[in-house]
Amino acid sequence: MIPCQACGNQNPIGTRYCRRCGEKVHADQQQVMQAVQSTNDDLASRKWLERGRSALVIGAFLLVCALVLRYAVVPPMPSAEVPPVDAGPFIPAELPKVEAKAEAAAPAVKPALAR
Amino acid sequence: MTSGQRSLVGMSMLAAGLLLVLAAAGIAWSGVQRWLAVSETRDALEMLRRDRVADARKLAAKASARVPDEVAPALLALDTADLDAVERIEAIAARGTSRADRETAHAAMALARVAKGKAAGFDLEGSADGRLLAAMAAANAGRDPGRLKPVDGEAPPHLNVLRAAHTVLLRRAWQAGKVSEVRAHAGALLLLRPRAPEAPLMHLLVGAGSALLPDAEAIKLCEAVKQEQEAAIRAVAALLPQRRAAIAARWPKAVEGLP
Repeated sequence: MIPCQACGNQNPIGTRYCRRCGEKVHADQQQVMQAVQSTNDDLASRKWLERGRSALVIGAFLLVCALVLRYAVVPPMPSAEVPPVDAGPFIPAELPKVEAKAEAAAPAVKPALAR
Repeated sequence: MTSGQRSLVGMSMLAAGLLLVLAAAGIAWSGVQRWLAVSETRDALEMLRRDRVADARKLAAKASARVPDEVAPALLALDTADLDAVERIEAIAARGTSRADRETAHAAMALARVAKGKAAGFDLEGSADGRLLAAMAAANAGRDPGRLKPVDGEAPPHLNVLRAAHTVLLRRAWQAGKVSEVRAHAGALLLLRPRAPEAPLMHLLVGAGSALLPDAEAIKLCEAVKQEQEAAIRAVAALLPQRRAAIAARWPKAVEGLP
């Protein structure tokens, strides 16, 4: 910014007449250099702010998407099941101890309902 | 706000944004891993229903590596013959969030121990699993296991606990020569898994044990047995002396040496 020698108003670089009092603005080389530097700093800081805001918005959006994926889209784990065990042969190698007779008509018993 | 302050706020927001992206990536990765684990666990359960136990175990082990705290894949991956592996399940069961999963893990551990002739180690009193395991333990110890009757209001037993109990009790009934009990347990096993490889043997035990079934039909049932046919027919001939003549006519060697 270039200060007006008459009223002290800060005018943007490149201004020929003061935006407040209308006086002609005189600027030496040092003031112009300072003004350019200050404008560059200002632009750079605004860029940082923009970048930060974009990163924050993108990050928040991705986080919401990830949470939706994790807790709403992924199906629930099936219930645990008891794995099979080796309970041995159905019929042992040795012969039965008692001599048996066939059943008259008794049907096989239904098992209890299994999970 | 000066340009310096503005830059600082911008950089802080950028850092926070990057942290959010990292957190989102982590959550998404865990979600994808969980999704894959759920899919693999379902496939493993399906394989287990089709008797592909080794394949099911392999797939469940992959799923368990993705979600180590989940009880379902850890149980499916469990080699029940390895009691050390069974003991490790307890830690996973303790971390399990679902009470049903914890109970299933305890039932699996108790079943593996009882099948190895050890004490169940868990108080499964009041559950159908507990009663079945008690009957198995009694049968293994040579005591009378008592009758298996469903109790009203009791949670149903797990399929593999029921199957193991009926297998042990069938063996015991066969040793004692109790045909009605052999038929009951064979019938139960047949209903539990009608397409299992042992189903023809169960059909034979149920059918041949009935006096109503003619010998010709019993012979047909014998012919249908594919797994260890000779041993199965000899076992039926040993259990049912009244079938021996018919069996001897078709398989003379099967009755050789029977008292």
